[in-house]
Amino acid sequence: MIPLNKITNEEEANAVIHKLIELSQLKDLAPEQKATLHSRIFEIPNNALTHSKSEFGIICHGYYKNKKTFTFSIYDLGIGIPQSVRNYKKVNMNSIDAVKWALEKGNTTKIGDYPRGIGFTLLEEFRQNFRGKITIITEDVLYTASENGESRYIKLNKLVRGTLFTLKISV
Amino acid sequence: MERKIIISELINNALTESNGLILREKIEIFLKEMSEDDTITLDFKNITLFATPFFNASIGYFILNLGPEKFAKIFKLEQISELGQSTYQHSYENAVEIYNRNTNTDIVGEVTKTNIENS
Repeated sequence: MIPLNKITNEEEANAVIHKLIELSQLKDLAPEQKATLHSRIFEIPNNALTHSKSEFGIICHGYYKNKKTFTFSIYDLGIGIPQSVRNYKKVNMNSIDAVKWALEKGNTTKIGDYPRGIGFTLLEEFRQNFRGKITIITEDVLYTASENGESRYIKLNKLVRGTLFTLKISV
Repeated sequence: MERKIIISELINNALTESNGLILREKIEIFLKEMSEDDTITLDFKNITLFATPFFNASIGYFILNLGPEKFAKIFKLEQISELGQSTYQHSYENAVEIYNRNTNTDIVGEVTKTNIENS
């Protein structure tokens, strides 16, 4: 069991990922595969910690033995990707364009003295290698990148607070 | 002279920004003491976990500040797994792209400024 706790930094996020892999059937993966899974999943909470400006979030995961799929989700109660992009670019972008901008390689809303903006690209590559699916729900946008490689942006008719990111892969 | 940093003596994973900053600090100390032809080898033996925040905060910083050419002359990575190499490569290429973009923008800015002054 992983006790309910607060994740406020990268080290705590890393510790939770380690526990959830070791407590599931994924602990029997080959060391290299386990390291890849751990490393790539780490990009997800790291992204939420960096960008969401949220003090609260939820991590869920599941391993479905029959379908041999692993799902990892993180939901934060932050400002959402579109608003984060609008604040950074200081323009009034529509939400789908803002999410498209955010997911493009090299783009980041975090200013600093070193380069960023590559985390999602790695996740997308990881998804392709493991025949997976990515789903993002933020503000009024649903983004999916499916197993067949197709990406879609759908405008929702309701606003969602924060951002939900889900990765599903075959293992 | 080759200076070596054994990463596992500093940190236990190459995932986090904070670990990247620890490595950066160590490299900065070496760079201050270095002569023209000295090199720095980053030895990743026993490091199994790699993510972009680590490489961005460490080597990405030096690519932006030294430039890709000087970076390539100084730094070498060894005993790094396939996962590590792949993650590093993504971070490296992203940093080079940003460096080139910034450099081109600076050049355009300088040329524009000169043209205005001379007009």
